[in-house]
Amino acid sequence: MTRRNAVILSLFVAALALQLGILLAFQFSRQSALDQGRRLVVRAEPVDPRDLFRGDYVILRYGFSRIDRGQVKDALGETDLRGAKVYVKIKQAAPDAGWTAVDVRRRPFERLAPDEAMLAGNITDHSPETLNVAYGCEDVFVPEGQGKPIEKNLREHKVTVELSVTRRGVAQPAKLFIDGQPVEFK
Amino acid sequence: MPSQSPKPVPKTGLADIVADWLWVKLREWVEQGIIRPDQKQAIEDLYIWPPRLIKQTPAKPVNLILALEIIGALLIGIGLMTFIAFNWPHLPSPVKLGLVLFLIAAIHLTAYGLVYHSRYHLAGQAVAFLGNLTYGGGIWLVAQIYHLPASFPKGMLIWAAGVLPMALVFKSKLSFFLSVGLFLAWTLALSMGYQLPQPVFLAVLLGLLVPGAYYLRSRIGLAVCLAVGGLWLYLNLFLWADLRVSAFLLVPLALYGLVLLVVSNVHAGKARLQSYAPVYRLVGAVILAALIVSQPFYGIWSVQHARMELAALPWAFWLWCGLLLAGGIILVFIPRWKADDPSSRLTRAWLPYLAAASLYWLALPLIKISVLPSLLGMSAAVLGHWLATRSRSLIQAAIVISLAWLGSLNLEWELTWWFMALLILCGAALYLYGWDLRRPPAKELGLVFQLLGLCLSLGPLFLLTFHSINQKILVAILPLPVHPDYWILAGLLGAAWLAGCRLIFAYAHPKAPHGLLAEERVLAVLLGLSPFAVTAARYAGPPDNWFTFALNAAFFFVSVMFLITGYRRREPHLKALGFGLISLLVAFRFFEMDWSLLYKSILLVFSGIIIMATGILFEKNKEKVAVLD
Repeated sequence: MTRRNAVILSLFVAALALQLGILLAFQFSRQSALDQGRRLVVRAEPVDPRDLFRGDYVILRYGFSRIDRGQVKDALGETDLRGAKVYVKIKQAAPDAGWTAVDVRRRPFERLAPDEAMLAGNITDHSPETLNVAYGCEDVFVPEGQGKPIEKNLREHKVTVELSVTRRGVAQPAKLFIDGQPVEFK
Repeated sequence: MPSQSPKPVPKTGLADIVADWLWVKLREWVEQGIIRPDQKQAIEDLYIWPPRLIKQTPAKPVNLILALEIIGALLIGIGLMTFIAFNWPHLPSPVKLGLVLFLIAAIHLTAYGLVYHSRYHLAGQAVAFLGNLTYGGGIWLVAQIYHLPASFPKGMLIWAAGVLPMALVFKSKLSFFLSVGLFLAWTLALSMGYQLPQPVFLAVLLGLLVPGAYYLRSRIGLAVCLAVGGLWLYLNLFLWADLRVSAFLLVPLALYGLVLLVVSNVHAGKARLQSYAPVYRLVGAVILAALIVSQPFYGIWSVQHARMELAALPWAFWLWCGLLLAGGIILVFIPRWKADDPSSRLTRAWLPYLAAASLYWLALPLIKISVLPSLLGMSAAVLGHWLATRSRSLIQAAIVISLAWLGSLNLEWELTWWFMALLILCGAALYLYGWDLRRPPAKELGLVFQLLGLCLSLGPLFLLTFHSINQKILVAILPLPVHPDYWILAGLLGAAWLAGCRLIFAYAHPKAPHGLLAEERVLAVLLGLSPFAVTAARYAGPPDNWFTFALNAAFFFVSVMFLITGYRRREPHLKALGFGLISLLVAFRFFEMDWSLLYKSILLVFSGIIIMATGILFEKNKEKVAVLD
């Protein structure tokens, strides 16, 4: 093998390793977030039944997606907050009650009570009264053709989602429940 | 100090076996991007070649083979992604992921073997492209398994970051385009999603993508990067201006076009960079032409809604204006960077007029009395061209555009079809004048007019291929326009088209390089007749499925014609146009169908395998296929 061929081969192996490495690291980071994260069961609400089903995923909206700034501790000020990363402290009033936002900050919360959790998100829109926050766990992908029944259930039944939340506040959907029963895709 | 011209080197003869080998190798090295065409020519000029080689220069079937293999790879790649999107619940997620990882490694290893250890270099490039698509499929699979948001710009970024090194290792221009497209999709998704400027993309563009295009010796890649730079500039200015539309925001974009023209002169003055000069000239000319030609139309429709006080403009606007102006002026006045070829001289003579025409965007929003002065910018550019060349071709083209502009003044938007008919006729006339303009020294300018004309003609025709759109536009009873000026204008545009036909039909390809091939004559006639044909068909009966089918078939026919003329003329932009139109048509029709993703993916993969196998078979019998190219 000539020196040129050896250089090309090693560059090729490096590029291939980079692709496979990126993919495995990506998968590993998401899997570990799912395995090690704290599980919260949160109530999902339909945003608008007509716009709920897009292709082969269902869009969910949570009780803490839209935050009433008058109801929470909010030290964000009035500057342009679009796209800003924020940390939202959510609290469960009772074991079966829903989770609601109680505090919003630009830095992570250091201490949390047992009935509290922290979610990291980005502000998508805001006004002096409200904040809309996307947490990256709003879309649930389903097999082809199985989105419509879920869409129907969202309107007629109680739909909850089990979120897995890491210590840094990254949330991802783990399970979907309709009236407490986990959804099995066929 | 004038440079001394090199002494002519006496030509030497070569042994037949060496001559045969070097003759073939020189062409292969150009194809592989190892040497440039001018370097090949310089080497050829050193030797005396056997007459049989010169007489029997074979037409290389490379383009046709590569086209087949690329289409095949693309179909297979899209098919795999469609299968992933099908989200089959009976296949566990870890198995799916393992399968994708195995496929990525296997496909890339096959590509490596084909490119570096076989004679199937072209198939290797197409397989490497397929590997990069499969890698993207893997990213979306993981994103699907873990329910990452549907709007996931980071996915584009990590896809692009994995594709770029592989493109450079394989010296694959195709994968490079994929990488550029993905980086662009990433920054657009972030800009659109959160409406935040993305300055980091400029670093990616200047630090990775533009040098990558030079490394791959890809002129099309460089053109794409320069166009993407313009898009980035406008989009970010829009965001810096807090989403307020303003004609002023087009000023930095016009300056960018001027700077590209100046940089083309810098490239033309350097022997090693000469082959890139037309790229800068073409992209700069397209940007400027689009802006200057759109000024009058902008004057009609948008002036009322796009007023922004100069004082309210963001600091980024002034910064970019300053940077681009300073850069352009410095480059113009450094004597050693001045090139002396005819097109560079034309560019230099024309620059002040183009600058005046493009900076006229600053005055346009302030004009409140009449729309007529909005034609001044275009007039300055036309005057500059006439003074520099004494050619009347741009004056003629400006008259054609002004006719369309005048017609728009009295147009009622309810009469959509009648407006579209005007645009198609205007585009057909511009397309023909573009051929006339392609005579040296303003070859690229002719190309700009041809592309502009095709956009004006094919845009409305493409919209009509949508069943839902042609139903909406044509299904209602067509009222005839009542304004006499509409009919005068339609008559004038029709006359311009006929005059253009008469003007250009006198030139025949290949005797005159700007002459038309037989297919192009048919195309020019078809474009001009299409408004009459559609109107006649509409009056014969309401549009139904067959009407849509016929329009789709006609559009496909026109697209294939561009592809054929691209190959016959060996002009990459025509091939790209043909491929682009076919891809658009197939993609839109495909997504219109209410099909299962599973069936769709199977069809795509099998079609891709058949087309790719045909390409590989052709590559095996390269010389026999030459006649097809």
